[in-house]
Amino acid sequence: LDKQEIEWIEGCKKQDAASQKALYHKFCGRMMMVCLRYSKSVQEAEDILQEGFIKVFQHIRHFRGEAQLSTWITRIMVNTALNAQRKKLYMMPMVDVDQAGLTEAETISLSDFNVKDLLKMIQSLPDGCRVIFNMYAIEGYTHKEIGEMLGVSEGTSKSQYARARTLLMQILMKEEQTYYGKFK
Amino acid sequence: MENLSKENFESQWRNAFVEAEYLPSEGVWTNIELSLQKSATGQMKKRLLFFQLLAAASIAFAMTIGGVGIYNLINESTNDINSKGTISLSTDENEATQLLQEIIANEDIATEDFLAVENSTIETKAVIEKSTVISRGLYQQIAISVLPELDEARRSESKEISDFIPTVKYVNLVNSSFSVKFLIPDKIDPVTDYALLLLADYSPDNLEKSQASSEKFWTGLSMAAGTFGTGMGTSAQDFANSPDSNNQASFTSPSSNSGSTLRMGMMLGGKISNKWVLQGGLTYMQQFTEYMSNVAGMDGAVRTNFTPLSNASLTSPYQLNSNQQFISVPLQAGYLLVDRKFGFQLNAGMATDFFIQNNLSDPSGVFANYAERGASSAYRNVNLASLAGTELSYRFGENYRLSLAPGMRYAMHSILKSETNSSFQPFTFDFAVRFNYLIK
Repeated sequence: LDKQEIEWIEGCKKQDAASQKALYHKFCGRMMMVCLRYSKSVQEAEDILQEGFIKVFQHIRHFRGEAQLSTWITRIMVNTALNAQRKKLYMMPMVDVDQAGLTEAETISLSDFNVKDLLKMIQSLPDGCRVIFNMYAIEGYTHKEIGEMLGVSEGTSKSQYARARTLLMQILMKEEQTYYGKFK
Repeated sequence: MENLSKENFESQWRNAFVEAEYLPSEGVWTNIELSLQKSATGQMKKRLLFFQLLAAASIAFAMTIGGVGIYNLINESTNDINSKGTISLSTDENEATQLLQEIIANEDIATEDFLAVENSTIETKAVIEKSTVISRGLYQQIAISVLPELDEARRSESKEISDFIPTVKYVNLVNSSFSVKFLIPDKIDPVTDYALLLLADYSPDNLEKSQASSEKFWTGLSMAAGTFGTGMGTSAQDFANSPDSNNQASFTSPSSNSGSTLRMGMMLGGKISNKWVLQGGLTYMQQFTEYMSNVAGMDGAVRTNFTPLSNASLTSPYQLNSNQQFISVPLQAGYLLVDRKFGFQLNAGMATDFFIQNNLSDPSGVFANYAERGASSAYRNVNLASLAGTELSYRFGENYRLSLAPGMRYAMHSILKSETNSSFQPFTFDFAVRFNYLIK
């Protein structure tokens, strides 16, 4: 934690409005991207961001500095996003899906795409796949942890992730063909 | 082109989003700020609710005790009416001793403690200094023990009854219900006069009562905290002044319907009869209220919509804290329901509150603080408030009494000037702690 962050945290613990505002503006951009990855729209992401930051300010007295502040805030955002998604996931329970074979030899690089395009691809995934893809591939949770957090089996998490991966590969390949097609 | 295999699939996605940012709209922060303010107000409300419940419970308790007190008062009055007996002195030692033993038996006190009384000397001389009403109609006769003066060393030596040898006087009473005057020294000594007091139908409780009754005047310090209803609406429309040139309305509306208050000061009191007391004092009082306002002064300081718009301008809504300060002169009459080591009384009266100033501040620090006072203030210089409450006290030592006094205070008129076209009549529940020094 740098000195500035420590000052903000202390200020937020005293409910100092200026510290809360400074902390928000420091992290809102990165956290909005986290929320967007779990959402279908900007509006939905902003709702999660708002709720998440309120939780951050309400619980910041419990932050002990054992992790990076950004990591702690990200965890709160992810949990808030999961709560927001949980209702949808409950309505459409996740089940094991057939794992479409992934061609290991496919050669596609993400460096050909900008973040905005990648975000759109993630947002195009079905709800269950999107949540598990984010948690496993980007947040780094294991399938066991995901299963416990979402109340599904480890196998379901794996199969949903595989499906997400297949769908993303298909989108990436299609986008790449379109991109190279322009130069033919 | 990099191979997107299982090994690097996740890492490529993770890396792609590591430093990625997307700025949310400004409205998100505004909503967060409002939610946090609401949450802070809610926490304050919870704290204040505790004091409200405490005050309400105390008042309910006071009403119950009051009912019991009135019931006892009526019964006592009946005894007074019937207490028209005749008193005659007897010199019969055996009769006196027998009576004394009966009384002792009825008092459920070990007889051996009073054996010394049996061998005591009877004296017929009676010194009548104080009177009491005997409410027991069971005894046809009553004995009075007059205790010899003991030297100071012996008085402090022990509290055992057998430590002193009382002389006995007794009276033969004709009627079963009577009024009798007893020999009671001016200054009641809890040790040496115990037997006398026992026979005179003074229980140890009554002894306390006697001591409490000797409290004539007191002075002390008082501190109180509580909450008040603003009596204001929460809608900005309620406080809208005439629109300015841009057709926007100025407003200063309370963030919630309640505020908090603090008081501290000196109290003076005295007994005007056995049951009635009069007390007053001088206290410094603060009232805290939170508002949302869209008015700011031309000097960059906070203002309310009570400020003429010629001296102010409209701005974005912001939180505004108001701290009104008064010097208050309360005057209350109290009725003593219990006047012993523990005391309990009902109080009612009035307070004259002199307005000092109102400190306005913007917690976000955007606008400078502003203090309004005197003619430029929206508040009346002199205000009247009615007071009602209870006081539960405990005497410790010879000269000190600690009191807890939950009470209500209601402004008898709006404390805002009439030209503001607004009304602010605080109705306060507070809880006071008083520390009194007893002047006997």
